[in-house]
Amino acid sequence: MRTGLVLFCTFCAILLFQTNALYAESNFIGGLRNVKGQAFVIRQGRTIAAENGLHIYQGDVLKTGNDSAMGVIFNDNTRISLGPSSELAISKYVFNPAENKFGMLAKILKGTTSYTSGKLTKLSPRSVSFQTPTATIGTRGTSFLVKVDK
Amino acid sequence: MMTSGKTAGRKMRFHNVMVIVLTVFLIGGCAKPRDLIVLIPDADGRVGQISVTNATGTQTLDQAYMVVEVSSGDRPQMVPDPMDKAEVEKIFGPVIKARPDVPARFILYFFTGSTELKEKSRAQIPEILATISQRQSYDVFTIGHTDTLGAAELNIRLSLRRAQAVRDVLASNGVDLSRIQVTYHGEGDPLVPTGDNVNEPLNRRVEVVIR
Repeated sequence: MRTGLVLFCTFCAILLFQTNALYAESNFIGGLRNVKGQAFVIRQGRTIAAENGLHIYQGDVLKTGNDSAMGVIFNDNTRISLGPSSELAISKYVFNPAENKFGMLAKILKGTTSYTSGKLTKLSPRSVSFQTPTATIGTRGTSFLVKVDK
Repeated sequence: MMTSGKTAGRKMRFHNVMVIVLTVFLIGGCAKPRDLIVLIPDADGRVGQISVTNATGTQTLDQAYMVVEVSSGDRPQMVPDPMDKAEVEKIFGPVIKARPDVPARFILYFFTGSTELKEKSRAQIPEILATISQRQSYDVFTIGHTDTLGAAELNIRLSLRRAQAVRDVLASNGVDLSRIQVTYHGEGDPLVPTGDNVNEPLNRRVEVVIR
């Protein structure tokens, strides 16, 4: 009986520790907001329906339908949005001030997008790069709009 | 081009379509697809600077609503006049509307080397809870920091413990644990940049960011 109790308590302690570890590490890089209409996140070959609050990870490709739009807020407060019939890939996102590691590369493949800078460009001015099919946009911390014509 | 000889009407319609398409091409000058990049003011009205670069050249924008156009293989071109509001709305209306809100941010301060909140900061907890509730936020981040006093490695752990302490206060006041994200930056991202080993109360903080 006593052994059982000890085992049970140990089991609970392990569970609690796991939970703590889970919430102590957030490896997502941002979240969706203002999702309108049919939109998707493509993640390692899987298609996920976009909805408000969905967490975003490095490598995700965001896609909107022809009457759709959505926004993303990243962990450093960078904000991006997509208009209708748009596609944007988050190729790289690193925000790690403790280790002085910063970097973001986003590629707009089609449609319209907006970008508003967050802490990444404040802490590391040249760390953010935005690519369209025809050019690379460098920013030191500002807002801009892009339309890709295809 | 294949025309069906079946009815005179059908042939006529096809011919009309061809004329329209050709006209557009002539007027447009066989326009290649062009990407547009427009610099816009920040929420506080400030205007920054962007560079648009490809293998053949670069353009810099530093005035609000100025536009650069780029076609594949061509140099980025500055458009002489800024884009007017009507056109911005027409092309970018939906994407502007979809922009996420600016998050709400609170800063809570700590005693040296401690995870104990200062009194004035403790007094801010009710307002933080109300904001979380009002905004119906999806993510609440508690972001731990330290000043540069002491070893960087130890400060990484101290910043984590501070962020966890604030998480615990929020959770014990009813905020759903699964909505709280604990992150920590040690001596990184100071509020007030200082040299190493400097006692700076403003850097001993947790930022609560409500998104």
